[in-house]
Amino acid sequence: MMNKPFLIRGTLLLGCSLLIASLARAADLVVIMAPGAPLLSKDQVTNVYIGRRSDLKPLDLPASAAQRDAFYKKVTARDAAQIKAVWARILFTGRGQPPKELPDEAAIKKAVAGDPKAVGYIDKANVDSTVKVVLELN
Amino acid sequence: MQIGKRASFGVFVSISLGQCLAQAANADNGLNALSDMFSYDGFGTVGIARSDTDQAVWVQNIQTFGATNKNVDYRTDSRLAVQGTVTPTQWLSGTVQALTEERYGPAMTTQLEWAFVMVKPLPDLSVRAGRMELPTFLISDTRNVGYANLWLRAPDEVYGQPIFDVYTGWAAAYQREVGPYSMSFNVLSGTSTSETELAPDVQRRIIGHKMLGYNATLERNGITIRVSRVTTDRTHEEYGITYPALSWSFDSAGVIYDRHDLVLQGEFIERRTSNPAINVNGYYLLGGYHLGKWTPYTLYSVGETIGGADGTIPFASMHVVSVGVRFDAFKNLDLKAQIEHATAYQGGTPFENQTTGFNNHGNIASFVVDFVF
Repeated sequence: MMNKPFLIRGTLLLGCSLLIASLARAADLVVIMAPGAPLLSKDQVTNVYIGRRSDLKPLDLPASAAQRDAFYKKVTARDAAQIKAVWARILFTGRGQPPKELPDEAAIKKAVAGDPKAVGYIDKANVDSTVKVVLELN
Repeated sequence: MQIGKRASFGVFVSISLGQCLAQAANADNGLNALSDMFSYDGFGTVGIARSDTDQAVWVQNIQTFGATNKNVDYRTDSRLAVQGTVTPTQWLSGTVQALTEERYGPAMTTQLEWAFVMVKPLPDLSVRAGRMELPTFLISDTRNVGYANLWLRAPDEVYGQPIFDVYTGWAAAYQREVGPYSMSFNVLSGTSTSETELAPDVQRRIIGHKMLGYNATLERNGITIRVSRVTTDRTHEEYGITYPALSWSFDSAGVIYDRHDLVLQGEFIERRTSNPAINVNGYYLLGGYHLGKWTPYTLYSVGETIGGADGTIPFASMHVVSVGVRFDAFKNLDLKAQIEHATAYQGGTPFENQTTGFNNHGNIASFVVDFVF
């Protein structure tokens, strides 16, 4: 039979994990393009970010950014390592280059605002009039 | 093509073209910015393999060296590739990739796997001309990129059948989004040459003339279905004699499911030739499950000569059961370990130099590190 301190520690640990998980989920992500762009479906955004559409230019946050993993999980149902493998197949058959990596959300917004073909993802709270939300990821 | 004059010429052309275009890049004329114009990438694998028998040598594909119980083999899976890409505009790019690995013969050799120019006259359409990997089966053109695949190595029972891996010619690809689906159609044509070793310093040169290929792929977010066909007139030269061309064809139907944490992949292939004795059916089933950075998997693969209806040509089968695990240790690096139980064709692949008493079975343990840069 499990002892009490073990159960208490386990419950606390579980509680903390759930709290951290809910905090991580708290930020709603949105996919953005330049003002005037049409709305995109989740499948269309997926196709852009796994190299199946070459008419749009996907932009990525650094691998260390928490939003990057969350974005890929929500949109492609795969984690960053799985997506990296997908791009390795495209890159090493000479069919394309992985999404360009920019340092932060401000850089993503600036690049998207200035290029009608660029697509990026940022926290919903950081959206302003320079960009248009083409897909919300709740 | 061994690295030599032609490779140097290719690199020279790439660099010269790049320099000319770089000078014009500052003008607002549709050219890419300099930072986007050139890219250098690479991939590689360092691996070892060992079998549990000394009564035969476990050998993959057309390689010369393999593993025994006494001999830990490092050549089977180890390879290194570097790639340079120049993308002067959205519609024009050039790619050169050199790969060093063990092929036939005693030394690891370097060969240009890819050296092509790609033009995109429309966003959905691309045309490539030059030297390219032959996409005979589902992942033929990326089977060397260990990092891009879950398994430790592509199953030889299927991917060892085509003989031809690289061709010179052209390919056209049309890719289109239809509703939630992504569809692509590819056509290729060219010629291919492959060499194997009959005996030390005696090569057999195999040539695929009039090579034609077609494939179609349907995808929706992690689910891929692909069918393909490659045909060629195959001839070969050995001991100074050129043999008449025979018709060969390779057909494949494959499926990949890679969503959430589950990975399933399966493929069925047929090799048909003018000689029924070497007609082959092959298939494999791969299943894996992501547990964080760990992905345990299992693979079952079969290659069978289908035999003749009248019994004069015997049926033969080789099959392999593997279990392994991939560990995504770092952003650009994975580790894989695999144990497989291989049952050979009677007296043949994948066990060579068999001694009396060998029972056509062997267990092979392999460990690799895959990386991309």
